Amino acid sequence: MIKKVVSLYGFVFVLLILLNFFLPRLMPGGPIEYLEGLDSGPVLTEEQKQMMKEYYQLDDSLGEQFLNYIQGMLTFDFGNSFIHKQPVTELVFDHLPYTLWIVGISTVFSLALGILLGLWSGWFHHKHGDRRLMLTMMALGALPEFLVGMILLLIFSVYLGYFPMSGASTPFLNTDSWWGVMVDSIHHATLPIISLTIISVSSTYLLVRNETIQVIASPFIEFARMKGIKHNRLLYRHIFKNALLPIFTLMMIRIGALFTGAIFIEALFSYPGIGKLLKEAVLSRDYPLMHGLFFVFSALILFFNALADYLYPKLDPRVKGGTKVAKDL
Amino acid sequence: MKKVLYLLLAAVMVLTAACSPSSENATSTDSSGKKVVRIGWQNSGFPSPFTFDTQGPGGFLRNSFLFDTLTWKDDTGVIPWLATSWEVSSNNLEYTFTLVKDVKFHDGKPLTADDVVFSYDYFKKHSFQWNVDMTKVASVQKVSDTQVKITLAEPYAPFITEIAGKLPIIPKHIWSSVEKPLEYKDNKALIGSGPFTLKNYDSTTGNYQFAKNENYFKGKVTVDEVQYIAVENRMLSLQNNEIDGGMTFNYTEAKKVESLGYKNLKSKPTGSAVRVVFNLNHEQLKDKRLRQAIAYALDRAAIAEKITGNSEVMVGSAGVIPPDSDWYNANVKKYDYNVDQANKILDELGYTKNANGIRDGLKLSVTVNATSQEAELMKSMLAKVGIDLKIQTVDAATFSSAMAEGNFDMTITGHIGLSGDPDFLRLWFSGKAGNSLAGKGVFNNEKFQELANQQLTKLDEKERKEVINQMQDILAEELPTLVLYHRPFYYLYNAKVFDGWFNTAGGIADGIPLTDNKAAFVDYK
Amino acid sequence: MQKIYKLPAIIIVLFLIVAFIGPAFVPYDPFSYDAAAYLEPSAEHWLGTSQLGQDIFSQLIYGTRTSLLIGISIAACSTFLVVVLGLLAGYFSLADKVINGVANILLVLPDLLLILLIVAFTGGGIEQLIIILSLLSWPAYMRIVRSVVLTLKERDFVKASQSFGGNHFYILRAHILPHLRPIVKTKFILTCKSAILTEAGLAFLGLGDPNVVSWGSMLNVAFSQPTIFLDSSWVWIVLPPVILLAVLTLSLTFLLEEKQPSKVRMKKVEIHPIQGAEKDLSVHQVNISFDKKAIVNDVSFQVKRGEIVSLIGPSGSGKTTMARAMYGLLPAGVWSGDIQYDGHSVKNQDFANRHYWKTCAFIYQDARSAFNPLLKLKEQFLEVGVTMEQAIQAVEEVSLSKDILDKFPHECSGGMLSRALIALAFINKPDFIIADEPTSALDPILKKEIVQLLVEKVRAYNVSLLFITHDLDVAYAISDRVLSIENQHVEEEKLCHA
Repeated sequence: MIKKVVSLYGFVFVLLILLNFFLPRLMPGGPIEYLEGLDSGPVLTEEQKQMMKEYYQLDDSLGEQFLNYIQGMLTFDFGNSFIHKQPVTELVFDHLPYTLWIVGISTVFSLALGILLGLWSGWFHHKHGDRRLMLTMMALGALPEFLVGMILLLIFSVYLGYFPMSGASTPFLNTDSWWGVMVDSIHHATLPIISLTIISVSSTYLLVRNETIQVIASPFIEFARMKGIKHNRLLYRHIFKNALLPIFTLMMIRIGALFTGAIFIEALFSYPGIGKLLKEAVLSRDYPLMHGLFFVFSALILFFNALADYLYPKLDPRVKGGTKVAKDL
Repeated sequence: MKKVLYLLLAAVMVLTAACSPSSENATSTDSSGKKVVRIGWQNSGFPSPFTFDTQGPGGFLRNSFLFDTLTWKDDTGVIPWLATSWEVSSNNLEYTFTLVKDVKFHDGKPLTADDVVFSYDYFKKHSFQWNVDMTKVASVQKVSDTQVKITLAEPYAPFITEIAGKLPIIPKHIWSSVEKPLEYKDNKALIGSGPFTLKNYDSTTGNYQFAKNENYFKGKVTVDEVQYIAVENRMLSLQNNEIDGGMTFNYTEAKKVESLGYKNLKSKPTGSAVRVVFNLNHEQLKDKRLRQAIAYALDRAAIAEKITGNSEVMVGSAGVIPPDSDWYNANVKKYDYNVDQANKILDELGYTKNANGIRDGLKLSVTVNATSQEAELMKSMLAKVGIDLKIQTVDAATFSSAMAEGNFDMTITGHIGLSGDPDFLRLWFSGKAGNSLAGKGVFNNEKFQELANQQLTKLDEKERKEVINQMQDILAEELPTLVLYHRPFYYLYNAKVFDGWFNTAGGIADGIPLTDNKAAFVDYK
Repeated sequence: MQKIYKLPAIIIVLFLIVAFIGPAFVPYDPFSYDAAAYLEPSAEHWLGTSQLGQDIFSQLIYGTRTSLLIGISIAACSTFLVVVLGLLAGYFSLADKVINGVANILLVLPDLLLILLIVAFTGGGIEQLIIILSLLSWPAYMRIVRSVVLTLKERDFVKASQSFGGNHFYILRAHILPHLRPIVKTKFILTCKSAILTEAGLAFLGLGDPNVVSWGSMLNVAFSQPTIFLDSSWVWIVLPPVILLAVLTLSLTFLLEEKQPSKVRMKKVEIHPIQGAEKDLSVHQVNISFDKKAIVNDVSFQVKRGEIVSLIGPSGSGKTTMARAMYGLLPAGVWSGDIQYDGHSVKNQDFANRHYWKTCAFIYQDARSAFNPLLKLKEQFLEVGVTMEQAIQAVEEVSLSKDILDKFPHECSGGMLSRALIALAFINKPDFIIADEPTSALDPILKKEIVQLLVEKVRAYNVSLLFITHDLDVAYAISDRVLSIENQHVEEEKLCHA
């Protein structure tokens, strides 16, 4: 089983490594064009451009660049970012913790909340509670990310002044206590976390609710009810377990996507996460940074998807494993 | 659902009404009694002369806090800085600078003529990132410990502002051993002679903490600390007392914040321009009459007013140089909004209207980098004279490569720096400048190219202006580009924290219309 | 109640009407910039004007056309891809390699990069946008569908169909597709919504199509001009498209909800003791009707302690409904009369808590579908409140090995599960057992065994059994009395012991 999962995903990984090299270079324009395309950038003379090209090894042949790239992959050294003029590995690891912190916590919150509310809503299907909950959740889900963040920001930082408007911490905070630093980080992360939770909770909710309704209609749930099993056990043990497979897949995809950040919310709250980095990298054609980021994304997302495939039979013993060639087919 | 929204609305409205300027509780000093000024600006990179970010003027300005140049600019124009005076030889090729005595780098080592010579040589090898054309410099020699002679390869009229006023003097004792300056990120890379030292830089968030240089040669530094905070929305952050000053383009926003008790400094000269670039190789647009017809069809005053929200905004001159520049030629051909004139020319050119009033033979597109309201207005205005305009939105890099490949009909681009030295006219149309400035479409006008080279040799301002005036006349007649309007920058700040801001004559260095001039923090007068 | 289902349909139709013919009636050209900037709502400009002086109401109407086109076509394309690719990937392992591989690649590569790439090569019009977003938005839900198909294809009904040589595509369509309904519904609604929002995001990144007005391009104002949040102008600039989007999403959600018969609110029940039946299972004047269609009328009978009573009747005669009513499973609105066990009425709110699996137990029609497929039998035994020893004893009494307790239902044969179900029914020694056609899914030999086992246990524990069956032979063979249900009435059959 493990071997099959690994071989399937290993192949995809190799493919991705190749795409990671070629796709960015297929995009129109390069890093120098990006600098020139900006409204208030410098005027570059031919000499300057030539120097930049040499420095960034953009005048090498594609083959040489590819060899460098593969070599970099193997040694986890992706080179220096064109735009940030900093080693890519350093950049990624500087920004990743911020994203993990806000996107991670909000993913946990939104999954927990979405699953709980979805289960309840499905349980009370066709009662008023379900409909009200669904109205609220879907209305929330229809709000654009940016607007949710903006409204929270206006109310809680601009008008009420409860939370800071931007950044991940107070600039140049004069405190040595880890407690002070932590409180400061939480203070800054609250609004982004709430915004992200609100944005993503509705999709989990709707999936869980619809699955729950389907599971509740199955005969074994009716029979379990006949056995006089208490509501809680029925809901969390019988129903949830049967609705879990699609929810689990969604969870794994979410966890994988966690590392790709949240472009809009990070921008709105000037939060130095990976989403902002990614947007810059793609727009500025920062090849080394794109390579580094995609490498991290590929590794993590594939890992979680492979993990999901590996765990399916554990969650539902009837699954024989998606990669197996069924003999009777 | 509705109820929730109404409640939310009501809450926000009540809060809006109750909102008062938060500047009341702003103090000019922090808890330790230090005078700190916090300015909002995005991350501009590690501010060494080789690694600062060139995506905007921020990097150059952060760098200028740490390093000094031979000359500088303030509200009166060019002023001596590291050099006390300079002399120009009669052939306009040799500049001899006399340096201030006893200038010290942050590490206590003296700044001498050797460092100046070293810097110029070093930057010839490793280019400075901010618009400095070092090919113009032939050689640099030390005359004495306090005198340096710079010899140019050819006469270059804007040398004092464009090179001497921009090139930082770096310490020889540090950089002489640095082979790869772009990778040199040691703290020593930040040792200059400037009014500030960098106490802290958070590369992840992009926040800077500059501390004053107690022994600054030019005068006492009047604040203890300047911080740059990378906030997303500067005006809201200003109201929220997270910064003490910030810049905006938006007139409505500026007025609003001003009404809350903040001071508003409008950039003068306005400094930035939004303009249409025509593809001079385009089958139809290569005819200047079509370009003129388009100029007549565009109500540039309305565009300016709509987009900035301010009726006082300056409409662009057809001669490109903005009306508030010293180099402006007021007598160039004007293209006031005139639909009849535009229709007349278009008819003459044989683009006849069909039954729906659309000129079938004339389908043009305008390529814009990011969402452009100018393009939307242009589309509506050109529709009135029967031109069907398609808007094509692309990102910066695509935009620039489209320009380089001549893969466009028209584009809209915006710049700063038009108020600085007029040499930019030569650069734009020489076919050598940045893609987004002129693209591949070289302006093949012999007379113009001749004048463009001529003005470089005229060190006498009056003579030079004469040439520049002629260049503007040609531009206005030929219209390789059409400036729509000039957009002022508004700097909003809390005057209780710091009130020494001023507009630099012609813009900082090569015309940066921002207020972050280091001279504002130095008592040198 | 039915209004709930009509309203969304009406709203969606309204949206469609506005999208189709609305633009012909708007007061202004959405691009015209003649009015002043940021006008407040007024008689001339119902929703005020934008920064450029464009009429927001007119933009909203034009935007409805564009955004509906974007949202619904992308949702349709993407959902179609999800279903087709998910079915193929889950069912055919060869297809899985390719489809899941592509999905993983798409999940990894940021959308932004791919969108930029495609826009660069095709130019960014609305049609291209629809194609791009459809192609990019399937992988996540494809994986969800695939995971469900992976388990469905191992189920009996699929296996059975396969062994009868069922065509694979027929199996996918007839046996697997119906189970995907909740996922497909969710996917469609969410994609429709997010496609409209994504278009706004693209405009923010400078990749939208500025030649048309959409809700997205209107929302983009919220991103690009934060000034509008400084005063109340955002209320009429940003909120209208947001509200329309929310209304559209909600309408779609409720439109796709399954309709179910309405429930009547719980009435306060009055329970009267039934004379002379304090120790029995008694059914008293029961009427059952669904949607005004009567199932049974005025039924009364009793099952005495230790008695085996069969309820027979042709299929569709209401036997199972009767059984469910007797176990208190029918909602209060559809039946009247009373059913009492030892004087305890099933109408009592806490009847289920107090008497299920203590006073009375139920043997389900099909043993395989009665057990939760994802819990081991052990757990399904222990949860009725018995010890492990009792559970072991119970399965051993029905001649099963105790190992069966550590198995999942799908690891057991139908006969084993039927025995286990009987063991489970008797485990708490209830007074009454209702068996609803417990043998209908079994082959004749097994059927005989199971019936024998059931009768043995009933006699051994002195339990009352109501045995529901359509098999007259069995009914006559085992019962003390036989009741037949026909024409909405229950009548006692004369027993003629052979």
